[in-house]
Formats: sequence, structure tokens, C-alpha cells
Amino acid sequence: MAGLKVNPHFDLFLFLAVISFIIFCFMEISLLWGVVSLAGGMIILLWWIVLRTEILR
Amino acid sequence: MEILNEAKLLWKYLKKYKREVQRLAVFAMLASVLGALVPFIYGRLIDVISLQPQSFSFILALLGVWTLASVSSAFISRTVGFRGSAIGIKASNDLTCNAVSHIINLPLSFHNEKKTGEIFARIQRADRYLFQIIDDIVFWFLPHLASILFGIVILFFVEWRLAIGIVFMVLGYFAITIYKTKPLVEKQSELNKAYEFAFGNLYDALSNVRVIKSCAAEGFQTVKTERDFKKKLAKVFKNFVGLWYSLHLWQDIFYALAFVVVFGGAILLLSRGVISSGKLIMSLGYLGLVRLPLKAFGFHWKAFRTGITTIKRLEEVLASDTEDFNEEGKIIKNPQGEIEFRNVSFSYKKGKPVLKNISFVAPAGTKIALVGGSGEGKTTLVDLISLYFKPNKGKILLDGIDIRDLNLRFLRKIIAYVPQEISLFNDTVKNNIRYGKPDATDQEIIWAAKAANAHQFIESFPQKYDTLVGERGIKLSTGQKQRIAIARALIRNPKILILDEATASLDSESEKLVQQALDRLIKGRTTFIVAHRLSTIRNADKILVIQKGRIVEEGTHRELIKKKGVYWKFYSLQFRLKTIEITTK
Repeated sequence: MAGLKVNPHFDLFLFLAVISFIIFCFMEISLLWGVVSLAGGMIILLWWIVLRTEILR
Repeated sequence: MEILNEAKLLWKYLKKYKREVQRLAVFAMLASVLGALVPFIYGRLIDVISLQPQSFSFILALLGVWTLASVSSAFISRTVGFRGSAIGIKASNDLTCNAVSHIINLPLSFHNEKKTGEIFARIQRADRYLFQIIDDIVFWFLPHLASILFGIVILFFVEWRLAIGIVFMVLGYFAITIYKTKPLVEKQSELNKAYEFAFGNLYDALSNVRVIKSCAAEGFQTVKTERDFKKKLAKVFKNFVGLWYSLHLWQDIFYALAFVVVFGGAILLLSRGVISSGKLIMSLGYLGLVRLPLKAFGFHWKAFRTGITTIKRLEEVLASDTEDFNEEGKIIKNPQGEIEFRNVSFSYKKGKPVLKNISFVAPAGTKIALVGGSGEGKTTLVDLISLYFKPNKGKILLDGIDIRDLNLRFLRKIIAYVPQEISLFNDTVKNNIRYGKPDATDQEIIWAAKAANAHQFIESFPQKYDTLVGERGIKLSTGQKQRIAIARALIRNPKILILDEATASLDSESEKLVQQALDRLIKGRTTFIVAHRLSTIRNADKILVIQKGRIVEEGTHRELIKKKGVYWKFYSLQFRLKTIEITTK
């Protein structure tokens, strides 16, 4: 993991991409899809938080 | 296990909304996970800031995730709460409707023994508690409990030692709450009984306001009500509040101590370099997350147990058997209305017979009068015809068929009853008449009112047939009420008619109008008149004189007068009284 290099702006890009998708699901599809995408999106983001903090060490 | 049975009882009311409940449960779980993530996120944030403060983009993204988690958690839990309340309202309405439907289907013997106010209080309290349990516990507390569990799981991955500390704290808190709630639940059933008793009496008082006023007993009633509420109820309530206070005190002390221990442990681990400052903040966050649901747990546990106790009290009533309507029973296509009593005996309590060996035939379309002093069994005899009670011995036949073999709804449909004390619903005149035949048209109602000599006075009201009659018909005179009751009976076109001396308490003008209406009503129907004044039954086809539950004399007015027996005695006594009345006037 320590060898992984991350573009400093990738974090923000990932966050914005995930949140846009969630908002799109909530607004344009249905509450259920919104909730499902929220669950999926949160898993991706959390995985990224854990990974990223490990890289920082 | 008791708690499982209680949960089953609750599920009984939620089952109908199974799909919605399942969907909300999934949403609630998601909200709990999101809520439980927040301390983890800011813990990590602290670590990132302390390790690499220049990683600006990542810090911003973390703040974004934090906002996203909290906002979505709030949004989802509010939605769950809102929809959960809607289910709570629906379920508690179901409970009330089911209870009322069950209770009105219970036999008359049940209603004779129970106080209306008491039953009313039971339904009302069960309704309120069911709503509270669903709204507060199922859709608020359970998701929070899930938050605690998720929080602990996350903390286990991050720092197991602190997680174990929090697990002990939660378990200890639950143990104290469950142990201290036990006496509270016992007190709750005592409190329920006291409430039902007090409200039962209150209902009694309010429905007899006229009597209270006429006896100038307002003061006496106030003292009685104060005794019920301020002394009896307040005493139970005081004990209850005492236990409640002690529970809270124990909970607060335990939480404060456990907090210091867990937090102290975290500081110790930080000072030894075992955990980062981010993890310390995270564990502090989880302690905070646990705090609100834990505090609420005491309240909700008590609300659940006591609420279920209250619902169980209503369930006791709902468990009693309703009247057997004998839906499969016979239905007579063209009932004639001939009634025969064959050696009928009846008692309300064993060993105290009210009717003994009663036998007589009432041919279809005849007028049968029942005469006798009060408490001799006249009303019981007519109650048996409607099968409000079943005879202990003997048979009652309708057109030659035992009424116990008939469909009870059919039997009651062909019998109309006009009681002495008319009770009307607090509704419009029209709806009160329509009660006799729910699908009656407006024309039929007007026809019945005209035949009952009621149309004229109804038309004189400003709102005519839409006039509200007030509680139990308080806005109408006795004669008017009786004529509406006659219209209600007429609209049903019954084969058998039971009149509990309808003209007993009227002035001569009203009596004339009511009598005319009754004559129209009686025509062509088998009629039983429970007579108090003998002048009204002179033209009856048969007069049965009842004494101590037996028929002692039977015949027409003329035959009985000739006989110079019990009837003659009654008659001459009333006649003498009337003569005295006329001479004094």
C-alpha cells in the first residue's frame, strides 16, 4: 500500500463523483435507489478513507 | 419467554403493515450504520491532520463524507420516524376498531357486569400505549440500539480494548434498567386498575349529570371524584414516581462512573502510545453515541413493558367469547311471528331462578301483554325472545322452530324493541331513525316518521331531519324521543315487536300521539307489551300475569276481571288511584 501514489486532487474528485451519483439516484430514480446508492457510495468512500490514512502513515 | 410473547402481541398489530415495516427496518438500519460511522470519520480526520496537515484535498473530502453521513442519517431516520408514526396511528386505530367491534359483539351478560367508563378507559389507554410503543420504540429506539451495536463493531476493529469497555458499560446499564423496571411494571398494572376505576366512576357521573343536578349533589360528586383521583390514584402514582426516580438516579450514577472509567482507560492508552489521538477522539465519540439511546433505553423499556401490560388488559376483554351468532343457523323465508314458550326456566345466577316453567303461545299478529310487579321477570321474559340470554330449561319456538337453531342475526332482525327509556345517539334525527335500517332511503325515513307522528315536530326544527338530538336525545321531549324510537322500529318492518310500556311517562297530548303511532306500529305484528298501566292493554289478545317468575293468570281483560284474581286486584288498585287522582284534580 505504501507504494501507492495518489494524485492530491483524486480524493475530492472521488467524493464529488460518488455524491453526484447518490444525488442523481435520490432525485431522478427513487428513494429506494437513493438509499441503495448511498449505501454503496458510503462503502466506497469509507474503504478509501481507511486506505488513504494507511498510505499517509 | 415473556418478552417473546409480548413481542408477538405487538406483531399482531403490525403484521398488517408487514411490507412497510420491513422496508422501514432496512432504512432504519442504514441510518444507524451512517450514524455509527460519524465518530470513525472524525477520528480518522484528526489522525490525518496530525500526520499530514498539507493533504488539503483529502481533508476536504473527509469533511464531505462526514457531512454526507450525518445529513443522510438525519434524513433517513426522520423519514423512518415520520412513516413509522403513520403506521403507529393506523395500528392503534385498528386496535380501537377491533376492540369496539369485539365488545359490542359480546353477550349482554358481559355489558351488564362491566362499567362502560372502565371499558372505555381500557381501550383508550391501550390505543395510546400501542401508538407510543410503535412510534417511540419500534421506529426510534430499535434503530438507535442498532447504532450502538454498529458503533461497538466498528470500535472493535479500530481499538478492541476501548470497545470492550463500552460493551461492559452498555451491559451494566441494561442490567440495572431491567432489574429496576420490574417493580415499575407491577405498579403499572395497579396504576391501570386505579385509572380504570377512577375514569369508570367519572364516566358514570358525567352520563348522569341530570340526576346529580336534580339531587343537588354536585358537591357530593366532586368529593367522590376527588377521592378517586387525588387519594386512590395519587397514592399509587406516588409510589410509581418514586420507583421511576430511583431508576433514573441509578442509571445516571452508573453512566457517569462508566464514562470516567472508559475515558480514563483511553487516556492511559494514549499516554503509553498504544492509540493515536484520533482514536481517543473516536472512542469519545462512541461514548457520546451510546449516551442518548442508553438514557432512552430506561424510558423505552419501561414504556414497552408497561404499555404491553396495558394492551394485555384490553386483550383479556378481547379473549372473552363473543355471542355465537350461529351464522350457519336456519333462516325462515317468510316468518309469521308465532312465538311459543315451552316449559322455559331461566336464572341469571345458579339457584336463583327468575322464570319458572313458563309456557304459552302467542299466535302470529296477536298482542300479548305482560303484567306484574317490578322484578317479577317480565323484562327477562322478553329478553329471552331476542336470545340475549339462553333459557336454562325448555324451548322458545318461532313458527315452530327452536330459536336456538336459528341464525341469531336473522332472529334479531325480525324483532324490534321500543324501550321505556329511549336512548338516542348524539346524531341527527335522520341518522337515529336510519339506525333501524342502515340502507333506508330518505323517503323511507320520512314515511316512518310520518307513521310515527314524528314528521310534524321534526319539520318544525330549523334543520329538520338534520337536527342534532344531543347526548342520548337530551334536546327532545320524552314523547318526541319515543316517536323517533317508534319510527326507528317501524322502518325495520319487524315481525315481532317488544314494547316496554312506551306511554308510561307522558302527558295526555303526547300520549295520544304516541298511542296512535303505536297502534300503527302494532298492526299485523306479534306484539309483547310489558305493561305498567293496565288501561293501555285492555284490548290485548292475551294478558299474562307474572308473579315470582311464574304465569299465575292468563286470559283476556274481560276474562281476568271476571276471575277476580291477581289481575283484578292490580286493576282495581290502579283504577282506585286514578279515581282519587281525578277527584283531587
